[in-house]
Amino acid sequence: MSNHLTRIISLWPKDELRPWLSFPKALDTTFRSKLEKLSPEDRKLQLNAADKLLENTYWNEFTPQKNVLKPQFNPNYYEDLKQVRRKEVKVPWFKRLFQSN
Amino acid sequence: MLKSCRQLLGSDARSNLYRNQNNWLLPIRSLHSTSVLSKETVQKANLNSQNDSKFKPLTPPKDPRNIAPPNSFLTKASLLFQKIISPKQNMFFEATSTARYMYYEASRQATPERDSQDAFQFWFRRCEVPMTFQSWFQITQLHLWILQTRIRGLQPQEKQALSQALVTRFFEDMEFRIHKDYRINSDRITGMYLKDLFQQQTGAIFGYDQSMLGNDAVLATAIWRNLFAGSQNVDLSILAEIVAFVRLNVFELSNTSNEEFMTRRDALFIPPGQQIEKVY
Repeated sequence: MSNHLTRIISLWPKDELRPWLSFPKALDTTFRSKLEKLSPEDRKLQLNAADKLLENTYWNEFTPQKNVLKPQFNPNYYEDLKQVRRKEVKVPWFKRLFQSN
Repeated sequence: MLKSCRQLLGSDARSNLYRNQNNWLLPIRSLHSTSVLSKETVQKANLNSQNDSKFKPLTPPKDPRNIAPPNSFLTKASLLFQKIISPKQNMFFEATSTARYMYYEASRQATPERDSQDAFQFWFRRCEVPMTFQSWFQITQLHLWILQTRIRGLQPQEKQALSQALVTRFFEDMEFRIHKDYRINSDRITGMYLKDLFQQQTGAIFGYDQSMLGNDAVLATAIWRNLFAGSQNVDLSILAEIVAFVRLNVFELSNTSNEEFMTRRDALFIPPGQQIEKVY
């Protein structure tokens, strides 16, 4: 069980744009302790669901058509999203004081 | 001193959204003792009050804009007049009526009245999402994103008109609900909430768009981040079901023609409770 979980955590895609939140970290800490308390049937359900997500079974079964994947207004819309990076904005202290956010 | 000032002014509020277990926008006026739902709807939905002791359930407000527009002679004459005078504006005018129906289909998924029992039972009983404004917002946002994927397949002018109309309708309804359900009458507070909700919307749409490159795990993390607010209590089987629901609906909508998509009024979405035996 723990080997299966560690494999899932290693294979899960990393999110560089949101470093304060990581799904593999939550899997490693609370999900691990939750799995130990479950019955073996429920444990299998959860881990098989994770396997299916990693193998992209739902994408392969239900791939949308080209009208959705390559929209007319910009055929490279979804591929351009790969090149988005975080912007580090340095706000000085006297502006942060009066920031309403 | 600076740190305490920052916390007072709430500059860490955005990061705390993901850390806090308590869901955002609790009812401020907890003075109304009776529930907002009528007794008939409670019996129909078989609501159990154990989970919802803190939060009051929502009703869809009686918005006359949700009802179909009247089919009288005057409206038809005015439409004809507008078609003759301004053919360009006609596209934007028609987009509002289609957006109204689409938005109605999307927003009723998370409300107990009408015929959305399957969807309501799935979201609030199986997924154990609390009945707050935030959760309703995220569920409708998911459905609107599913529609947005298909709207992007239309011609650029139609796409701009429809998506703009949908978003304006969404925010109009949210403002309406904040005024009526939560009895917040000051525009400053509602503006504050709506600005934050707009930021959440852009983040959610970007997160879901990242999954259209062919990765299911990315979609699952986006759903975990937005719907479940990054809670530590992870349930992978429910995430898989929601991913299957999203992929199915996007697939079905992509197979419909443009005309059918614009003119369809009923059953835009396949509800999530139905098991896909082939895959799950």
